[in-house]
Amino acid sequence: MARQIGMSVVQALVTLWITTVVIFLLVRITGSPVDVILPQTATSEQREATIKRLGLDRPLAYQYWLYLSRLLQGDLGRSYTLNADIGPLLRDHFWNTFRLASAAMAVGVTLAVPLGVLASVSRGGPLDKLASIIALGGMSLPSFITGILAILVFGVWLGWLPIYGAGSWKHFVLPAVTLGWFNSAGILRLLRSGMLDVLGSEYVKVARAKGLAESSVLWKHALRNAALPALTFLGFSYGILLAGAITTEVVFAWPGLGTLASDSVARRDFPIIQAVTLLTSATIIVINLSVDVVYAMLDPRIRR
Amino acid sequence: MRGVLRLVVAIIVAGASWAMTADVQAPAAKAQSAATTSVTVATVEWIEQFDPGVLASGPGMNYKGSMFDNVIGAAAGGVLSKTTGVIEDWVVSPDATRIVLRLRKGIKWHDGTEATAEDLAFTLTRFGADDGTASARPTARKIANLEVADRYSLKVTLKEPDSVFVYGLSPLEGDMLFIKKDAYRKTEKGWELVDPERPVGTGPYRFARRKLGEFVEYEAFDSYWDATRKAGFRTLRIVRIVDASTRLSALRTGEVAVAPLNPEQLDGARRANLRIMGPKVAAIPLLMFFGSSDPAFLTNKVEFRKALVLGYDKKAIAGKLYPTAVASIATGTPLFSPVSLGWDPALPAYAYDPQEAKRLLQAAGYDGRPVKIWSYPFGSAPELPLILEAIAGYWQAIGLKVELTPIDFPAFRPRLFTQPQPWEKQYAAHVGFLVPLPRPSTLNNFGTFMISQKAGGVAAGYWNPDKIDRIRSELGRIGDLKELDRRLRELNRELYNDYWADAIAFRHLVFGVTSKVCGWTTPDGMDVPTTYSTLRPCPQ
Repeated sequence: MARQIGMSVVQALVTLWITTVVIFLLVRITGSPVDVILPQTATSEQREATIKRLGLDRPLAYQYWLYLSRLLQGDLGRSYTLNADIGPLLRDHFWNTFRLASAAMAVGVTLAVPLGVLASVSRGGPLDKLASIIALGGMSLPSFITGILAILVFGVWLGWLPIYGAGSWKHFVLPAVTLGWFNSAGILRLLRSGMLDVLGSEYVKVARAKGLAESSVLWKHALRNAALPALTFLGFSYGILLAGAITTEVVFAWPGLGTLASDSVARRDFPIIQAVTLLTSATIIVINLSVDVVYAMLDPRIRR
Repeated sequence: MRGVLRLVVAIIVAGASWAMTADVQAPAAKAQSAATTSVTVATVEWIEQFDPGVLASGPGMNYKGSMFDNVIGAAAGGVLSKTTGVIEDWVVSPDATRIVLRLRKGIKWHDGTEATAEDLAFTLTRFGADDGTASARPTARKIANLEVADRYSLKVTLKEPDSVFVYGLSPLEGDMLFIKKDAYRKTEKGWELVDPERPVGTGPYRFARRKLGEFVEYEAFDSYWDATRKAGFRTLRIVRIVDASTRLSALRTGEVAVAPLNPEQLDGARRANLRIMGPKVAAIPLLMFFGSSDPAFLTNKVEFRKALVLGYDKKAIAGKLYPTAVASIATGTPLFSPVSLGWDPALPAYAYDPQEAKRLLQAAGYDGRPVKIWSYPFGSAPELPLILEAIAGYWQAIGLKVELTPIDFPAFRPRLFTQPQPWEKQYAAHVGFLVPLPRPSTLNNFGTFMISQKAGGVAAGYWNPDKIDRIRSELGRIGDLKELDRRLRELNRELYNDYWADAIAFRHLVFGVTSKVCGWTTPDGMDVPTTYSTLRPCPQ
């Protein structure tokens, strides 16, 4: 298993290096940040001076080498537009996104796990239909619609919750529920179908035949095996959330990684785009690695 | 298995806990519970740094504009003011090459020290530095020499005569703000703030705190030099809300008191009992005929340019796209506006006349080549692609072939800077929008949009570069602004029949304002200085 993990880490490092090359080249195809930064009244001389100041007049290979060598020393660079070091900027925005993603995950799991299990038990019944409606709604309604509706109902009409920004626990409720609902849909569906498969299997019949309580059969024996696909999905979607739930963050003016990424793309702020992409790639890789490890712990066959 | 489940549960609980135990005070909750002495404003653009020499232009000013003063002030109607800026008087030499600026006495920085002419000299130096990206940089680059004559006087010598130099020191034409010499240190490439987290200005509000990406908070500066313009609120909090519908909702819930609105939101805002405020004539979408100085393009001929201008119904298009609170139909010669020197209110908007347009196309010898339309949204006028689509339809109806090319402005913009500009010759014309600010001096806009690249221009949109370069140079030498106004008025009438471009509308900025705010001075003819320092609370 240690060898397996070691191989995964090497693969992850290679993936990250490829990511740096791809994103470095891709962002430069989209145009020069100078043409976004400078006001309409800027002169040619001003444009040339800014290109030179940002080092964009140097050969691409040299720019990449500079970027990579600084990166290896832990220096993510300086933002073109904000005139600030990227490290603290990234840290603050990632922290905000991490908190939101965790809260959303909590909402999603809390909603999906009991509903998924209970829906599988009452197949075709009212609870199953309710679960289907929730799953369908979560999957088919884009988060900018649910977000705006949530703002309208709970913020404007009822006045219960603040509608923008990050601060007290109240600020988490609307964006976390919006993201969590979307997330819960996938978990719920996977868990329900997994449970349906497992409930018909021999070992569950044996457990029931042994006279075990139904709750023990469901929550202890069946859920353990049915949870595997949902767990994979959970890890993957957590990674996606950490990569920045751009739409939700923009709708709720949440100062997270998604907002930072979206702004930086609009401003062609190459160093920030590169740093955000690298961070999200690393996050997803780490989460996938963790899921592999958890998988192996859950299923002894994988360890062999 | 239990261990794993416990781990998962622990992660979930921890996630929820982080959410619950956030230590930052909630902006909304604060806004709701605050006394009327605090006000929260939403902005769209967000430039999270406090050096006005870098990226100060445009709405980024909103973020920090309230803590700085203008060098020369501005009053309503596009007029320079000797009462609202830190300069109390200026004298321009008859040949327009030397200016003496007189700094007001008793202006205090937020750290308690007094502002002097050394700071004024530094302001002009910093804005003209190599690392400067502000829109005032071209103004500062015109300076040949600065001499501090005494504690409050600065002598400025220009490289070339420029009668409208002083406009560039005001919010009417740029984003120059008064900055403190000691707050900066020299770097290899320019200047940087000694302490970016403790910015200092002389404005009615002083910096209090901020949280990256979330808010910036200012508090009233009690020692502000102008008693009539002291801060109206104890605290000014600026937050960023990008999504337009969230901004309107935040106004409706009262979480913010002022927020910019999109044109289509005005009805909703009025239904929610919000007031609509903001400066009029803040931008002028201008239909340009790129490369018209090249005889290879039919736009080099006045008949063809006139056919293009008369060939679409400006009133119908603007009427559909702009509610009256958002814009009015542009009249007169492009680059002249109600707030500019040389404005002639008698000149009407170019009238829609498809029959005449068809006749002119024939007279110009239209050969069936398509007209290339470059379509991109612009920050201050995101509706431009819609307008161009409508114009393309009108032009097709008069027999023109058109080729509409959607493009991102940053991808298009390098064409303007390339010398010579690379306009493909297989087209009859190249057409697109630029969005000048209604700069009252008029001449500075000539510089950006009309004169040739050889003479320092950018868009170089006038069909006869020799003529416009000469005119710009001559007018720049007139030190007397009244005389300049008279000469520009003559030129205005002459250029009207040139059809060198077409202004679509005088675009206003619109903000929704709640009942918490009872007054806000937003001089017309400017978008750059739309700061919140003049917000006034309602009487208790």
